[in-house]
Amino acid sequence: MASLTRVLTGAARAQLNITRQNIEDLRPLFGMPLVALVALGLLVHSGKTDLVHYALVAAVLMTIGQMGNFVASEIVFQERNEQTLELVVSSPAPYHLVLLARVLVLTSLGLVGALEAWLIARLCFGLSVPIYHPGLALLTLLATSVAAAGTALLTTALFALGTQVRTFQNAINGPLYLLGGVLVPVTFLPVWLQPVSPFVFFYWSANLLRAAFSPGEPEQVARGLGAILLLGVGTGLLGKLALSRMLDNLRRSGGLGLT
Amino acid sequence: MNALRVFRQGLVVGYRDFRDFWSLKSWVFGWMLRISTNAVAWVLLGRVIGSQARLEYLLVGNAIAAGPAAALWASNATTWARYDGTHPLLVIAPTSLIPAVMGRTSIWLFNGLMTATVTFVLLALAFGYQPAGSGAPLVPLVVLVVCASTYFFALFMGALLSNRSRWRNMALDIAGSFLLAFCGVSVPVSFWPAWVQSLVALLPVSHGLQAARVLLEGGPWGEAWRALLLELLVGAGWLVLGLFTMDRLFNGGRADGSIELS
Amino acid sequence: MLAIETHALTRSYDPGNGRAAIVALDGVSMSMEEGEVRGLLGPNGAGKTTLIKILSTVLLPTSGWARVLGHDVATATRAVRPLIGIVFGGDKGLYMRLTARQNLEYWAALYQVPVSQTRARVDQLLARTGLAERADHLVQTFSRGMKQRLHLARGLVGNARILYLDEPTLGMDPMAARDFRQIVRELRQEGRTILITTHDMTEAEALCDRVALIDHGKVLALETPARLSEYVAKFERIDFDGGDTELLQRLEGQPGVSAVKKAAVGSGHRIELSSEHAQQNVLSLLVARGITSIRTSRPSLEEVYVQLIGDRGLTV
Repeated sequence: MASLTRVLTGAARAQLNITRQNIEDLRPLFGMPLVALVALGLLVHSGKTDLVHYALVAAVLMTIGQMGNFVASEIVFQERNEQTLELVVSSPAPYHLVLLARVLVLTSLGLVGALEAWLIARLCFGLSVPIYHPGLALLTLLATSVAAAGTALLTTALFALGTQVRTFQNAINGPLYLLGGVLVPVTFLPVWLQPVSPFVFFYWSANLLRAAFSPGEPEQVARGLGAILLLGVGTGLLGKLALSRMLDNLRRSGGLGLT
Repeated sequence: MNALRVFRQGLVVGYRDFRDFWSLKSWVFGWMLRISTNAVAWVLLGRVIGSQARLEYLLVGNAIAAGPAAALWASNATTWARYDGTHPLLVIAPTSLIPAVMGRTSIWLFNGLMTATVTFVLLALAFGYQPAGSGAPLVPLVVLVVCASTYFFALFMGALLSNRSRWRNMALDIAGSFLLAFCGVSVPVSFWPAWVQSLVALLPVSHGLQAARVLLEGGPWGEAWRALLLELLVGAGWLVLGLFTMDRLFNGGRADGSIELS
Repeated sequence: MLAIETHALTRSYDPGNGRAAIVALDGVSMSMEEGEVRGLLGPNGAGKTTLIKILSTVLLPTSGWARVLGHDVATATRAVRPLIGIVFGGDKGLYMRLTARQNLEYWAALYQVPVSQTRARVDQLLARTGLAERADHLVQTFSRGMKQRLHLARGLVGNARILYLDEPTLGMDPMAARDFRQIVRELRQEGRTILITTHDMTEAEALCDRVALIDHGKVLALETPARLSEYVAKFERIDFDGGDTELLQRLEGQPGVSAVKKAAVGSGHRIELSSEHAQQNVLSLLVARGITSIRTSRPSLEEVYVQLIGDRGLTV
């Protein structure tokens, strides 16, 4: 147990050190505020200030999503390029744990998007968006970054397989945000699409976060949080499997080079 | 004439760049899926707001803006010669390398045009949008102008930031996001503060988008042509700036030693 | 217990499209005692790196087996990995955006070095590899030689009993390579088992107890460097400058002289001996005839290499 903790903390520290030196890792944190700005501007311009929390919810969830899909998912690909993958694989540390720690650091950094969006609302539009249930908001955000890490574990294994697979990296977030009701609740989607939504963890995150901004008593909190974590753990386990298969394939095919 | 020939050769390289990224299948189910789902989400916000006019405003804006979003990739593409090591060879060659760079990067302009067209058709079908204006058939021309002026802007930005590799991708992202946030895609330009409006007026997209809206809504032709002319002028301005910056960059590299042979 | 043991180890790749399989390793059987330093010498594509990859568990063999300290590399990876350390050359394999110290601390965590020991071990490795003063600089600012030394430090962080050094001095300047070899000698004195792949004959001769010549996936010879040189010539050769036709004829007729050839480089000649006792007579004759430029030598590993593997030039 101690040695596994050692691996997790060592890998997490290394990722923090890498990110400190690599501003590129934080691109979503710089890009998302503009999305929040536009969403807020649209709602204000339309006279719908009662819906501004939609923009905040979308901004933070998209930031976490971008950190997971575009930053964390690059790790294995980068390791292959830099030829550190084979070194990590040949070390005693279980690779999926090394990766898990690294992606969790990155998706957790996505939480900064919440602060950014709230500040933009305040400073640019003079809107003070009350958080009626801050505890729920915090728990939801934490659970979401864990779920995003689990998903990133899967996607980082898949995206390392080749350019064509990586091309789908661009495609994933759009449908996930739409199906998850990140910007617009899923009730506005075609009826035939809606049954898919509960299988996307963003669906539960978006609902709970919007509830956290609403004065009424939030419903099905435990169910929602449980669903986020379950989906995250589920994709994480799939990710572990995909990673093992990928590494096995590479060991068989000779794709793990030393030089 | 040789410049044209070099440009054509550059196009061949650019086409290979494109194919390295996408097959037909991945362009449709990867790139277009991303663009169209993103656009749909914004258009649906119009439904949340409860206004058909708002919905159509968002539809037109997001469909056409998909073109510039794709054309902005040219800013990254201006530096690919440095990554594949051909940059010093291009500098050493007797002809100017600007036609080669433009040939290689112009593929993203065409990608922009294709992207905007497909997005527009998809959104129109999904939301039952039917343009009211008789000028609608001219909108593809407007989109071409918008994509071209964005492409010239991207060339300039790519050349400007070429040597600053640490910040390059970040800066290009932010510049692109700024463009798409404030040039009237989802919110009228007039909503933003005066300084933003002034800045946007000098950037691509906003004038062309306005021209397209007028044509689609059946507004005055004079207004549409004026806006289109402004877009052309803005595009020409960025083209000149782009050529100048590329020239300075490549010659400057010889002075500051930033051109590596390997 | 043997440190490394392989039996009929084979690795082939199927290129597809009906083409014949590429055999990278062809039935290699070898064993290494603990504490031995073994060189693997061979041209590009000979199978050296393939062997290292299998022994470091990142590649599965097609057939045959390999064991490290009794553990099968294909199936007992958990047991093998804590025992081995890999050092390879080049600019890759390091986290450029970390400092040297941060790189080593990361690997220390992955090799489960206790927290209480990490700092001291990292400091010691940085000092040992001459990187103490640059410990807190980003690796992307390092020269090639410094990166190479960091590679070595990284390979040692887990205190491995067995080390694989894959072309470790490639691209190093002579001084840096000399310092590196000294470190390897020290590691050997610590009782570690070291397998080095190299093109550098001098390095192989200087460091290795035994050298395996490998080509087309097969081990052609496995001997000490001295015995290997006997493949080319059993006894010392005598090189000299000057002399006339008459002298050459006399030398050819001397007992114990097998051949007198023109030197490969320059205008001199080389006398090859077939008897231990011939050297004295030949030297006396040369001196008596006023020849002053005389050298004796044993065949170098390079000559052995070229003789056994062939002079391919640029052909792969």
